[in-house]
Amino acid sequence: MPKLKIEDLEKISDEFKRTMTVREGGGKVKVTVHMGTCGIAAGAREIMNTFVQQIEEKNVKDVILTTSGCAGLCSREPMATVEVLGQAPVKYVDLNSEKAKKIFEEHVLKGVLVKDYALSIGSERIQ
Amino acid sequence: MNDISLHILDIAENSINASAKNIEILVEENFKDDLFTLEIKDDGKGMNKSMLEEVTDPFITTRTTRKVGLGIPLLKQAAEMANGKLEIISETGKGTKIYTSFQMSHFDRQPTGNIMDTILALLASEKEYNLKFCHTRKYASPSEKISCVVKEFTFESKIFKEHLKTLGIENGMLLPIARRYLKENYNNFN
Ligand SMILES: Nc1ncnc2c1ncn2[C@@H]1O[C@H](COP(=O)(O)OP(=O)(O)O)[C@@H](O)[C@H]1O
Ligand SMILES: [Mg+2]
Repeated sequence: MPKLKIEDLEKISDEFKRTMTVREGGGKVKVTVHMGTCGIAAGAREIMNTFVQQIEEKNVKDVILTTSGCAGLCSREPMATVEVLGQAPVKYVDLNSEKAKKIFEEHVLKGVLVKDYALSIGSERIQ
Repeated sequence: MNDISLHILDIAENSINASAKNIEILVEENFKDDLFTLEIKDDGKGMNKSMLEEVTDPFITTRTTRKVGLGIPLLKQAAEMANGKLEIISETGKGTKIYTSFQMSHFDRQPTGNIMDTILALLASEKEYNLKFCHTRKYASPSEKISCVVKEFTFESKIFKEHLKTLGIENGMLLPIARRYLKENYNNFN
């Protein structure tokens, strides 16, 4: 098998280029999923996957999705941090797919904080 | 950690945290010899002798005072439960190689899990590094002329990302595109 199926990749890229857009009036948003051992054991990968699927479903290409290491709050994993450019980062805790979906729809896409799932506001910065 | 794909993610995250620039993940399902092996290599900062002893020796001493995780001992335990083993070779400044084996058909072998999701999570890391991934399946030969049948899927993040760049793809589209690509090319490679 070749290292890369180029034709396939080009076909997929074309399709995504056609469908994906920049959100109207939206500022840059960065979503970080914490991928330490505790996070992984608690389901952080599924949260990551949910966000990837949301990006695909909602066709937005200006959301930056990354992972970082342990956030030091093992009992509240899985965790994710949402940072809208120019605003304080918000840490969400005890996540599952449903909550991640809601956070994506409300906070990431509309800029509306999901208070029920948030840990604290402005108390930390993403390293 | 209840499947092998999650262990892979956890061990590779260690490599990322060790500032590795190159990480290689080799998965081999050898149906011919009833063996499942996993090898994760990195060129990160490595570990010295005493550190090595500590990370492989599970559940000893009180770990409450030090912040030492359980990722490697958990994988070791999973391997040993399935009639396998875990070995680490590491050198300060050079890198680390973790080799794990399982008896594939063993009742207590953890399921393989979703390796595609693990690759995606590794691609999402904010650190810059090259990920090489290779998944091999070896089957007993249906005829005497050949010793075994080998199927292989390979993926390299650097090549993948470079190609997307030449196609004019922005960063924000990387993960959904990679997800689709892996779904189509990896999930049912046979
Ligand atoms: N690939 C590696 N390269 C260098 N050091 C490593 C590597 N893997 C593990 N270590 C060291 O072993 C420690 C324990 O690893 P682990 O059991 O996964 O727990 P954790 O990642 O939560 O610290 C790490 O903190 C690190 O110091
Ligand atoms: Mg670890």
